[in-house]
Amino acid sequence: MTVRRTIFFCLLSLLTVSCSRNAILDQMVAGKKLKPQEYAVLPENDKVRYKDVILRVPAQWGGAILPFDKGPYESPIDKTVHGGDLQTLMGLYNQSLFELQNPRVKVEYINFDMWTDNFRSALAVALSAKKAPAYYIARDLPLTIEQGMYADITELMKKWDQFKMQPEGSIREGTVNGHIYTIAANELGATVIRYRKDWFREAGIFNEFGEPGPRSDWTWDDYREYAKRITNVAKNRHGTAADDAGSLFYTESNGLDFYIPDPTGQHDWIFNDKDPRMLDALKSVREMINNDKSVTYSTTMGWYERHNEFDSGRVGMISSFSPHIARDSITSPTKMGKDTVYRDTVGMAPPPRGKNGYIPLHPITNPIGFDPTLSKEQLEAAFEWCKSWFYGDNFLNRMRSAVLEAKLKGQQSEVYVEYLILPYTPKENLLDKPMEAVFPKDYLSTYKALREAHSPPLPRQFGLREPAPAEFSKAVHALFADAITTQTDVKELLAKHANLINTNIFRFGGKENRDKMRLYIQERTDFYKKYQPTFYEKDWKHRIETYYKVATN
Amino acid sequence: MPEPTPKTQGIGYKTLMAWLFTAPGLIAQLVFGWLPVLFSFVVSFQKYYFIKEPEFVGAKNFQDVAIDPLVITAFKNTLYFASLSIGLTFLLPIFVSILLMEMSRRTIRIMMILWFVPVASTAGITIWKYMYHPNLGLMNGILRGLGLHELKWLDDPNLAMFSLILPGIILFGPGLIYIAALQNVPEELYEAAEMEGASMLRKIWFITLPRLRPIIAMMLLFSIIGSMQVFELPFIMTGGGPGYATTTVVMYIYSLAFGGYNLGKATALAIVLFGVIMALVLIQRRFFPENIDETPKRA
Repeated sequence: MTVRRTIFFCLLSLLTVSCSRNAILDQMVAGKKLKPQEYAVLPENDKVRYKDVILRVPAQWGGAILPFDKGPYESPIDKTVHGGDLQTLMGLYNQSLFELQNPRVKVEYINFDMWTDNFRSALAVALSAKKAPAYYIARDLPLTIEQGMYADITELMKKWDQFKMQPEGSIREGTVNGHIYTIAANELGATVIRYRKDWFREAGIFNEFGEPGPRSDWTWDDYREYAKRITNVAKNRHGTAADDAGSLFYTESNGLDFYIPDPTGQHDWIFNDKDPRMLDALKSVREMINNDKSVTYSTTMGWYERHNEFDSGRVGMISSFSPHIARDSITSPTKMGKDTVYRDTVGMAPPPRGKNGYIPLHPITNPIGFDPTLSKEQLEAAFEWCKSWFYGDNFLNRMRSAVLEAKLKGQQSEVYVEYLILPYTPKENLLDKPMEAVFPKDYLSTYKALREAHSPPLPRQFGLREPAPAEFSKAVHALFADAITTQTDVKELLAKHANLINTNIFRFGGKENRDKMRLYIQERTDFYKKYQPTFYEKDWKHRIETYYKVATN
Repeated sequence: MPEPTPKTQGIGYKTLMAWLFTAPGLIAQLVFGWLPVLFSFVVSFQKYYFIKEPEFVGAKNFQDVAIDPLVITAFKNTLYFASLSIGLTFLLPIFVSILLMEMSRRTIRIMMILWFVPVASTAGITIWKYMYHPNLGLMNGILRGLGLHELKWLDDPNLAMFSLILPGIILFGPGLIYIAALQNVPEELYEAAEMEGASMLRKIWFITLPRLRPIIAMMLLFSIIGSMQVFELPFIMTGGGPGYATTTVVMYIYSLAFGGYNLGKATALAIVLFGVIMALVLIQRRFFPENIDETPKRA
């Protein structure tokens, strides 16, 4: 009995001591924000306990994961060191540096695929299970914001010294009713034309620099004409490739909206089947495929397939994202063949304009949103991480390492691409030669135009709901696919699909939003007056009178 | 005192053991099977968000399903797919198997290997997408080689659905199941029929088909359920296109849920599909009994 009692009291004392020690440490560290030098002197176990802000960073976008297999080495980290995997080591270095700068934060790199079609469902499940990364690409805006899938970062953005450097289009895209939900990633770009310079040379088409390619102010008619001229069916060469609607057909070039305010005021929007140019759009797609034979089409054609067609030399012009072209020219200089240089074979041009003077060049970036279930500390940490990753210490460390690595390997450094497409001002200039020595004139002039371009206002900024992007784009694609694959009268097709879209997609909003709608249209009018005056005079001011009337009763 | 044995403990022990051994299965079925079904009934009456609290909307989701013209299209496509699929991948192998059984043992073995190899070796549906490629695909390559016109396998709305079924004929191997079942039909039945002077057709009609009935009933059930729920074939190969030519009900459900983020309507449509499949299964069970000696009921 005595022995038992002694043991019991010993255990009790131990428990009391350990609890009180924890309480003291809690007071000492957890309640107080430690500076890096204070954190550095903590015992290791206390360092572990102090890190109570977990930051889950997606490995594919900001992180670096050690190899799963150690191979012939002692450990995965040995493999990384001795194998010369500088990118992973730099990822670990940046992780450690960030944790030292932010002692409470523990960065965890996780695998989270953001680039495939599974992203939407994977994110939904991850968010519900509270296992999502701290930040991820923001897709299907603004619907996903309305769904509560992104945190409100308005305050954090306003405190950021580079806030004003955020591309206008990016801010517009991630703003709903005055609140900001996304930041721009470090790839400023736009939908542009990727074209084969050698094919253009053969067809005798030259730009303002005297080099093969379209002029920067080319129109949709030129686009169609050039597509025809570079087509050679016998050699299995086509002018362009279409994934159903494509992004550069008639509608895009002419700045046609696929939906306009519902003139009856019953709902917010209706499908824009009244403008006769929507019929022209369908007719011209059909003609390009059936008569001109300048477009290769297949139901399975998507972004990757279109680029594969181009890379394999079966298509001479495709719409593409400008940073990808610049990056390919550095990272894959022999992509178009071992005897050719990419920058001499592949060109970049702004998208063709409409006859109405519309300029369809809208600078964008990949928008990034944050997990709405994060605590305040986690959200702040995630925001700080993104700032560092996109333009701060993390970015510069990676760039310095890339410059050194490229020098050692005798390759062109990726730093030129990063600086070409960066939407922010980097803290340090790491370029040792001018951009002109690295990129051809067409790339630089397109980027110059892109940086000077402005993006028009979006309904979401005024608190107006927009259709679900994936659902709506699928519906528009179905319309174009029917125009391409059937011989049904285009008028009939347009009416049928308009009815379908109006019934399924646009049954929301109504009277309560009319004031917001007026504000939005006024803002767009002001925008075109200021930035696209030719388009305003030739088209927009007539268009709003005919098709953009907001019901008054 | 002797050790208690299952025998001495009687029914109590047996019952306990039975429950213990079936419990994991039952729990899994309950959690992953029945619970989502019950939950989906709740969701179908809500505006459901992934993060925010759901809102009760009454029967609105069902009303939306009722007025949606695409629902009709999706059901038409699904029924078309189901009929083609059942016709080509379910009925055809029955006849092929029966005819095969008339051949020598050696021929049967060779044919079974030929039938089985593609089922076991083909990488899957994705490869078919490339086989159908208009310029580079194997299918058009064969047609070109034969001097025939190329076909727009997946790009022609009238041909796309058939193109989706075609891999099923090759990849889905019910023929093997029928052959296995046919090998269990007693030889004496055929010998007796032959002695009575029965023709091949009469043997098939009066011996083979009735003996295959349990297998056919089961396969028909799976075939109806599977083809009504078809998703991966059109999702991977056509994305539901061209236009909506190959959009099936389950594809449309997926598109509503993860394209339109309209989980309420998607779930309501899933419940409608559940009802349709249940009705079809009940009809099948009523008119196509598994029992060999049971006569199909007349309506």
